[in-house]
Amino acid sequence: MYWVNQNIIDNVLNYTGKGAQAVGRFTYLYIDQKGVDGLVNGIATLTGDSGGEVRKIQTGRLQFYALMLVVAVVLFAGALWIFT
Amino acid sequence: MHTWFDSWALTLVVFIPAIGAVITMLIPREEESAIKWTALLTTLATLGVTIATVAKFDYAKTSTLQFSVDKNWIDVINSHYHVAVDGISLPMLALSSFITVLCVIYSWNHFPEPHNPKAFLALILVLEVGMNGTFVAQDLILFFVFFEIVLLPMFFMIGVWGGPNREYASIKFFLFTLFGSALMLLSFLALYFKVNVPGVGHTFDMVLLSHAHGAGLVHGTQLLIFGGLFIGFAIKVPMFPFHTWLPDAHTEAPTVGSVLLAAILLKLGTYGFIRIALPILPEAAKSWAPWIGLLAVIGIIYGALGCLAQKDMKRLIAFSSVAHMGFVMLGIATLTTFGINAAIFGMVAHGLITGMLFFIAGSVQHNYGTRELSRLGGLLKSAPKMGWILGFCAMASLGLPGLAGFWGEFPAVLSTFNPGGNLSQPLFRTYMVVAAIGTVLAAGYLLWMLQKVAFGVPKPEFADAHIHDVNSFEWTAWVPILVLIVALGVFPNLIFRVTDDAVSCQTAAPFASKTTVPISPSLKCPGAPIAAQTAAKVTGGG
Repeated sequence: MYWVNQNIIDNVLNYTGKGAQAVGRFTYLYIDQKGVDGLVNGIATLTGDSGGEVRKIQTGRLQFYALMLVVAVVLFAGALWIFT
Repeated sequence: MHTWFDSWALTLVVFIPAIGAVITMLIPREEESAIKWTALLTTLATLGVTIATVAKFDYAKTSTLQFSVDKNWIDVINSHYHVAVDGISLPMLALSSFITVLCVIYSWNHFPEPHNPKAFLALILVLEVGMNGTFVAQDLILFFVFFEIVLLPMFFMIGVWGGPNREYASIKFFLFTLFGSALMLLSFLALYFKVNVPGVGHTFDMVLLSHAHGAGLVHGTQLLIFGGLFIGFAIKVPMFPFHTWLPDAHTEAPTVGSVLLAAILLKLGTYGFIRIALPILPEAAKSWAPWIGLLAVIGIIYGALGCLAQKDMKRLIAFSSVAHMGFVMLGIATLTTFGINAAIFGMVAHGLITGMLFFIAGSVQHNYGTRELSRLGGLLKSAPKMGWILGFCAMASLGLPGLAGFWGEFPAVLSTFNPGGNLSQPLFRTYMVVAAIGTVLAAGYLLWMLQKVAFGVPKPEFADAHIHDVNSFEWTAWVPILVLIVALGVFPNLIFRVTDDAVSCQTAAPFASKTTVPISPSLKCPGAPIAAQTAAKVTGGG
């Protein structure tokens, strides 16, 4: 009986503790830092990068800006027409 | 009788720190002791007015808004300067004024690099304006203004006085919270435009809106508006999965910043749920509650598991906040008087205990120059008093009966047995079991931290180091907290008595059902519509 106590019951407890710590480490490193926090940082990076990409259409060519203006007016007019 | 004090108390509590901040800024930078004394006297004066408010508060009518001031502020949008306190706000206001004083005392000789007490203390005072203001505001725009004021000082505290990764942490904190606030503001605007309060029309007044219970809103709209409020408040709490700003902010923040962040700022989120989201949109709250409960119990387990993986003492305490605030949110998600009372108690208890743990972490860092758990050890040998205090706080944090933490955690878990608002009993009882397992994990990580930091002998690198035990400034700042942790643990009614009626009338009334825990049958809710009155009585009858 004592052997069962020392080797089986006690080890179940020990490994539960160690297991919890291992699960903790996995949760923190992979789910929290890489998963949840990775998503948060990913959104930040995406926002920053898209800023860089959008900058490229700032060409300085007036014809292009005028074209964008026309496109925008058409889009808004379309939206107004649909929603009112 | 309406006295001068009744109409000025809350305005003083909010704006004395603002005046103090201006005076602090006017004193030349070299006059350090004048700056420190100005800041200390300002926070003491604020605390004095708060204590007077607590003393004059009518405890027979805790559900009535008292010390009320309602003046036109921005006419064009019908926004008022409306401040008042009831049993829900009073403990939070007291906690906020109290902790700020202790933070100034602790800072006295502990200014982190790059020193500059003038800016540091002025920021603490500005922070106090925002914190106290949020807890007394009864108008959504006013609430929003104070809620946002809090962001700036904390951003600078982390960004200027923080640790090595301070820039990343401060920007993350700011952007994350601001994202939530933006959605919250949208929801406030939607409430203004969509809710038509009978006899008043469109209003930002929280009292009127909560009496209207979202009248005139279809269920879908209620759900959306609640969603905006939810994101705003859940980020501040923080609830899983919106919590990742917290460990970074805490790890990098200076000690006092961490203390204020944990003790007060997180509570702005949970307070928002109790004060705004639940009473104003009760129907949506019923639909959201199972999900809030789910995220709360995930937070409890997830925060605890996160703690077990930490190598840094402060980061561990930060993760423990995620778990503890999970208990608070679980109490709120039950939509019962009992659960919400537990949540408010949990907010105060967590504020005191975790605030205290961050104080100790700060002093450990100050002494050893590190917070790495693998390098620490033997605190009980090198600084026995501090070691004992750490042990005491770890016990309080894991919810030992007789200390404050117990009364936040245990009733919150208990309340999930019978949720209000016709929520699913089997679901919440499942949450109950999961939350109970979380308490075991909490004991696990807290004792593990205590063992790593306090037990054993100091590591060889610190064997000859001169480690200061608790000094007089630390004693002054800590003893009041330690006393309160015991006092609230032994006499939990100090808080429950104040919050109970207010919670029954303001927050839990729309969710009352046969299963909720009875409250005083004679309770009459002031100003509430008949429906809420009967609901409260139904609850009273049990």
